[in-house]
Amino acid sequence: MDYTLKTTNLSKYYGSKKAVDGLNINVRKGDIYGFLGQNGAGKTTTIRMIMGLIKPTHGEVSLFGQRVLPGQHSHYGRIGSIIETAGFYPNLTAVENLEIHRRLMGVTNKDYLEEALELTGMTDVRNKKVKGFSLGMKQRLGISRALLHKPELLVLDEPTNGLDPVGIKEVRKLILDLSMKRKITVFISSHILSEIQQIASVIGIIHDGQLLEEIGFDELKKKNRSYIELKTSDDKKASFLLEDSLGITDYTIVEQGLVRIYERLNESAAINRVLSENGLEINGISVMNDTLEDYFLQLTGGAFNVS
Amino acid sequence: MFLQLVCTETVKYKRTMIPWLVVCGGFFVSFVAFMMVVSDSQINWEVLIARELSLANNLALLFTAVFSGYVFTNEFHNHLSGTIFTYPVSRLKLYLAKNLVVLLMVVCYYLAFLVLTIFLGVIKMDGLPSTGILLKFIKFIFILSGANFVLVPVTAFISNIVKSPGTYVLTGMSYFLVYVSFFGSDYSLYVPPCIPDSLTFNYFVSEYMSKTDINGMIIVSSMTFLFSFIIDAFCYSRRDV
Repeated sequence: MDYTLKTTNLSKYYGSKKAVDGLNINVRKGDIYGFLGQNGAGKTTTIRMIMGLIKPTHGEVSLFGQRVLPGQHSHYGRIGSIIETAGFYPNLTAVENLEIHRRLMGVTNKDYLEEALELTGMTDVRNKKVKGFSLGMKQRLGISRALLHKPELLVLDEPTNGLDPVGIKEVRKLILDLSMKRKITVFISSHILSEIQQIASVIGIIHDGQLLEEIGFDELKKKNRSYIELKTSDDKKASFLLEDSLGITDYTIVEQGLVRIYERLNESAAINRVLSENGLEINGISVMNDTLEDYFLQLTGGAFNVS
Repeated sequence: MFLQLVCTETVKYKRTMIPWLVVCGGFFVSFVAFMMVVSDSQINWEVLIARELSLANNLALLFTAVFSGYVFTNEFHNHLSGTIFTYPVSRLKLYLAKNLVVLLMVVCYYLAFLVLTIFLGVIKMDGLPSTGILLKFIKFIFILSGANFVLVPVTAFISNIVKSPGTYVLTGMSYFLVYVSFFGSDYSLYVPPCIPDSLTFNYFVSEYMSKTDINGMIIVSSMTFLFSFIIDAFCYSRRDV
């Protein structure tokens, strides 16, 4: 398999605290890999290890099929990144900041700089000092910087932080365009499910430093299950009747008074009738679909920003 | 490539306080020192240069600390430390480039000082200094820049650890306190903050140093520089950001 980015048992401990624990991430060429996790889950620590900013306690990172050795930096010329807040030299203009980046990246073609500004709509403010920029403008300029040298891999740590809804939409479109037209591999982290949901082809879910799941988006959709949701005042009686009178075993009591039945989905009326006839008070019954949100909440134990 | 790295590193300080501090600092010191000797009618070029240099050396301790502290922590304060280490450039090269930029700043500070000192000296003396004195002055400016540069890795090391902007000012003041405490003592030749002024006195006022003294001074300076440079370069290139 042709992996652009791969981590093997990647771990970072701070004393006894495990910030990242045994991560095995596999990003194939051309993927848009959504790295999803709540704040403090270990996303930025992972990205910092990938970019060589911090040393892993254990494990290794492979980029473009080659293991990254300590002090090795040649492959960074093939990666564009934004890590946390995009920082700039505030005394310099947008174009001067990008010029520094161009030189350090060893890019000889100066047209790339204008192209990068144009991609994020920053051409008009090219000669303005960065110290007067809003957070959103800085993020856009950060994206310009990440794209300037035409990288093969984009590593973006919460790139829509500080952007307004229009800006978020534009960034999303830009990432999808880059992936489709330039075949750039994208590794994007976020704590917002809806953001990742709209662009990612593969999702990695990190929680408390551990990768809970790495799954293709299509596969994930298949996992969403339908069920009959039953609201009742007596869980125990419902449970007894489901098993004893109806022979249903694939069900869960989600919370007090709420039962989910995963079989015989087209027999909700019959189930309702049998339970009522046996004296069970039913407050509601309906056929439902598990959403992606439910899936993530279930995986992470309910700790997720699904806005 | 490395030269381009140094140029890129220099461009970062465009429109900051640093170029002003370099030029105005040199001018200011020269002017203040000149005002202190202007009433002395018996003064000659060598004494004028020595007296002016004495003040320049004292303030160079502070300025050099500010330059190096600023250069080495600038990226941290602008949230750029996560960016500069993701370039395909070795950290050691970056570190070397930063050191060279500080050296350049110190040289420029002394050159600004030299220009105004000669200008004011011409007014006071009614004529240019002899070519010999002028060349000696110019050559000495580079020696002094080197002597001040000895402390740059120490300041950089402290600044990289503490990262607060006040730290490098305090470090510069500490160097000045060390200078005040040791200058004139038997050990002053071997105390790095005292070395620039000791050299000035020796070359422009009285040649009191023996060859052994000078060798000892060179050894102490080199050891201080090398030791702190190696430690700091190691920490800079290995640290997590």
